[in-house]
Amino acid sequence: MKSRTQEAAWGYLLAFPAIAGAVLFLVYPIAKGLWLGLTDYNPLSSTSFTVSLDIGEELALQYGIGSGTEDRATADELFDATEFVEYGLAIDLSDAQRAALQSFDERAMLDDLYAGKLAGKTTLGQLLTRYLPRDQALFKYKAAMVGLGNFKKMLGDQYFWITLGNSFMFAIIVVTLQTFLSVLLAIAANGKNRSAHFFKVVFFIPSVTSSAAISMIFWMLYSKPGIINRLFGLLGFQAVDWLNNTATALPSVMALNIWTTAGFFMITFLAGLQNIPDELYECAAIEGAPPATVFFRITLPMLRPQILYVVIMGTIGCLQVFDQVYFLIPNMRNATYAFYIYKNAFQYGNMGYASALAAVFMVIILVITSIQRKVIRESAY
Amino acid sequence: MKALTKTAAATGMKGLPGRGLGDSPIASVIGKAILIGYALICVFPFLWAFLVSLAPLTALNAAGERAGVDIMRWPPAINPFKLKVFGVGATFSNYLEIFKVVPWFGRWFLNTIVFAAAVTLGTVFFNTLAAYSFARLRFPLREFWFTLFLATLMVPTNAIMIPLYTLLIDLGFVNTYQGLVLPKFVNVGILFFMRQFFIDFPMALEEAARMDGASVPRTFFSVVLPNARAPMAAQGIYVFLGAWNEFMWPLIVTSNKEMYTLTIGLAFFKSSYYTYWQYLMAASLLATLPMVVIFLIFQRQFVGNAMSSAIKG
Repeated sequence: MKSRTQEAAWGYLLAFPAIAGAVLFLVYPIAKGLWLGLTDYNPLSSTSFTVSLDIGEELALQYGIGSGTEDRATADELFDATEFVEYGLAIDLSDAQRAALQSFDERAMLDDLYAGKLAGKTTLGQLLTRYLPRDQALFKYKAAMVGLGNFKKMLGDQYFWITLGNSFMFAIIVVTLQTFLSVLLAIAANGKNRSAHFFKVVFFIPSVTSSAAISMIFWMLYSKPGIINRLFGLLGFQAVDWLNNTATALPSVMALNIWTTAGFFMITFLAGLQNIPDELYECAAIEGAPPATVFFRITLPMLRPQILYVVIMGTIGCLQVFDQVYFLIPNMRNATYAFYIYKNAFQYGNMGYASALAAVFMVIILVITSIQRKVIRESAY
Repeated sequence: MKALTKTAAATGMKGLPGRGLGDSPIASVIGKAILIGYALICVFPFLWAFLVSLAPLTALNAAGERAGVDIMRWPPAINPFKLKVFGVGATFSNYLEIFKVVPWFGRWFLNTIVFAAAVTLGTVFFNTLAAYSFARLRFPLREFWFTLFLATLMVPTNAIMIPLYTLLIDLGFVNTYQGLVLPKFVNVGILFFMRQFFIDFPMALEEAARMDGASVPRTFFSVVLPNARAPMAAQGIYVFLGAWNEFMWPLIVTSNKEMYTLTIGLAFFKSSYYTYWQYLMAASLLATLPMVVIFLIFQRQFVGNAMSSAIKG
């Protein structure tokens, strides 16, 4: 046996990549997300200093100064940082920023520019801070703390309530229907027939294909001239614009979601059914119990662990539904909560608000998971 | 539970004994009908997409004019002997056409392969290393780190997308392979799974090697790792599948068409060629074909794993 220190050293070395990864990409983001939720962070509003520019081009454009050596003297005379930012780029400066720019080293910047060191694009913030001896922080975008402001904003934000409600409705309906459907399929496949494996494979396929590809296919099936409307048309129904109609959009995506997962969960139940001891059924047969009694008194209670598993996995999956909504739902009234977070963060740039929404989301998921885990532990037998 | 029982009763499942439907001939017929019916529902979207992908964009109609092909007609007028779909000659040209219409399509395929392969190798390798360390080696703060991993297990990744994105900006990783791949290495589920495997792994083999004076890494790489290949491969297949189908993460990390993966490429395709159903279906099927092939090859493992996780869960 090697020494303890050596074992500890190897222990750390082997675990290090995973620990470092988890700290950097999991723990730190969780903490930062919670902090961002207390700010009004919006990278789009910070464009004033993140605007990218080619300073040589700007000088030629605004002062008519060329790049030849003879232009250097004119540049020295004309270029003033404060003026350039305020009038040339039309960016409002605070008094503190204006004062700080007094010490901007114009000469050093022009030296670099004419030496060809400033060719190409850079951001205004980077350019200003490079030639400032101090107060650089003034030219970096800083989000303001708003405390619980984001959470107060949610209470009055109708889309917060709409999308949250949609997500819960989605989860409740999909989980209920898919659980029922997969139990039914499992019972149907649990016979002595030799084709059971074939059906398992066929039912499994929707769950291994990408949600993007499946959404695309259903987008076609659901389209107004699509095959679903044609088939309904044969039965005498009017064509429905399934995804653009606010009444049918979410149910359409629910149906798609059930379609992708029911086959997978059916296998879960099949495993549960095959785990039920035969003696139970033999006893019931001897007692002469009718099929309904057998089902409700033996089959369903014995499937309890699998039902809980499917309900938990299904609920967590449904609350996070994003891909299919991104692809198929054009109207915010029918969007889900996960999509609303994305929309706020990456399309409106309201990352502070979106982080607060995400924090609420995280709490909801944690509460649901821990309740369900507790239920599982209590029902374990 | 109660709600479910009621649903089942309301929908008239009374006749089902629950032990298969093979007991009586009527039940057997109902069971078969349910299975075949649902199998058709599972296959129909793919089948229809395939038929559409085989149709030309335009064809000569009965009047001898060139017109769009009605790809939604019922019945679809298939004639396998004359190679006809929707009443016109079938063609595979759409599958080639999409590489010309969207010149990045090949690149997206490559990106997806690189992304999925790198994520799979890195995730399985690093988490197996750490899992072994947590299972077998004693080091300071081991319990602390383990509890930390345990605590993050329930955090949904969707909820930390925003800070992860700002982190990638700070690291200069937006629109890069490292940005796409590195954060995905973190996978607490696999770490726990492999740790459990090592805990259950017989100690005797390792002890023999250590007695012979083998160092920790030597023991790990020559004795432990060869025996852990099966669970590593099983986890690897799932990681590969998940990465291939991943949507939200590449959507956030990539903004450059050259860096898209297939799933994001499909979203782009949809927004730019939304009336060209034939192209869209060819692209979708092509993007998903590798996963269906992998699934069919490993079907027994997939079904077996799904069944065993259900028992444990």
